Amino acid sequence: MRFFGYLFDPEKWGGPEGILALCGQHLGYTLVTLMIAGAIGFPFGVYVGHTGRGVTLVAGLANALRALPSLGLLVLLVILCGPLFTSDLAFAVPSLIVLVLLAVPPIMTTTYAGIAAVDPAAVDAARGMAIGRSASSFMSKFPARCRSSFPACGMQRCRSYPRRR
Amino acid sequence: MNLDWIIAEAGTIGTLFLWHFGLSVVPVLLSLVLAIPLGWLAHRSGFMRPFWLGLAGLFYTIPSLALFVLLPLVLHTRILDPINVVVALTIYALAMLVRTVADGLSTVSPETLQAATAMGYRPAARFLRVELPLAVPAITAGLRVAVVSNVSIVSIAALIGTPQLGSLFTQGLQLRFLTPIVTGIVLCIVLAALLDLAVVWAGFRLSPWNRSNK
Repeated sequence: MRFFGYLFDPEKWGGPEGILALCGQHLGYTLVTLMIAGAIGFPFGVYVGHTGRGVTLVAGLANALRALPSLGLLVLLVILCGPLFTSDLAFAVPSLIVLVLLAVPPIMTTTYAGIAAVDPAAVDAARGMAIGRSASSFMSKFPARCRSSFPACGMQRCRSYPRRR
Repeated sequence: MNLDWIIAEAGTIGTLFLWHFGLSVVPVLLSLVLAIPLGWLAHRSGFMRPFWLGLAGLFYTIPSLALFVLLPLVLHTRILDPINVVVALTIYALAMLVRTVADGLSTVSPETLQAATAMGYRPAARFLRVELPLAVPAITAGLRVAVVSNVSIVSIAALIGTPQLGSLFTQGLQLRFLTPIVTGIVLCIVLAALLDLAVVWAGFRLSPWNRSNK
């Protein structure tokens, strides 16, 4: 019954350290991370998928970043960034950097894979209809790859660590 | 960087490295053994396939720290028992590998299976000798991802006191000392690269018909 006692205790939900506030914080971290990582990973993925240049670099980079221990990086950045900030930012900025580093590779690789998987016939047809190169990327390839890129965003794990002070 | 510290602590670091190695490899092997039947079930379940694969993928979203803390209560083990970490990592690897195995099995063409049946393979033998070997390249690809991410997740177990390279991170944070942290990160990446190579090699050995492509 301790479980339900905890859940139905209004004090646990409200307040600056309550469940709702922590949920909001978690969502905030996730959204900010996703936006920054998308802004970095998406253009790179489009570029690599569209031109076919740097495929090995992207695949290798994605694999190397996957092996990067997130906890180690977080600890390293907390120590390095700690003296630079005085407020809560000393913890928020390192967390965001680590989360972005973890989120960029899957967004980049799936965007690349999605664009590379577009049927060449559809691209040829777009060329035939006199749609320019960059426009063809957005008008024919982009809609075709949406379905394969978005699950990657959904796959992002929200990692949570206890806050240490 | 402080080289003297690394030399003085070389023995401890070696032990931690071996622990990390074991905690990364054992769960992946366990989950591979479990993922083959489960992936086969998901593969054969028709329209329910996306549902089962989605359910398996959902396990990957459980925060690892929460799982490490929760498992002793569920399994009735001691909180410092490495079994908790093994079980938690098996769950994560399983979440990835069930989909990998199911996808791998669906890359086998129906004509091949019909030919195998026509040659007199019974279903079990057909699965073990034809379907599974043909799925090896796809499974290897998924296994590489699982092993490499496992190496990274293992280090989080340092927060509950299980000895492995992650212990260097918590130690470094407490002492505000960068050398152990950098050492830990580098060794994690080295371990991940070695295990990745091992999986690639195993996949290469298990799929002799693919060698002409490489």
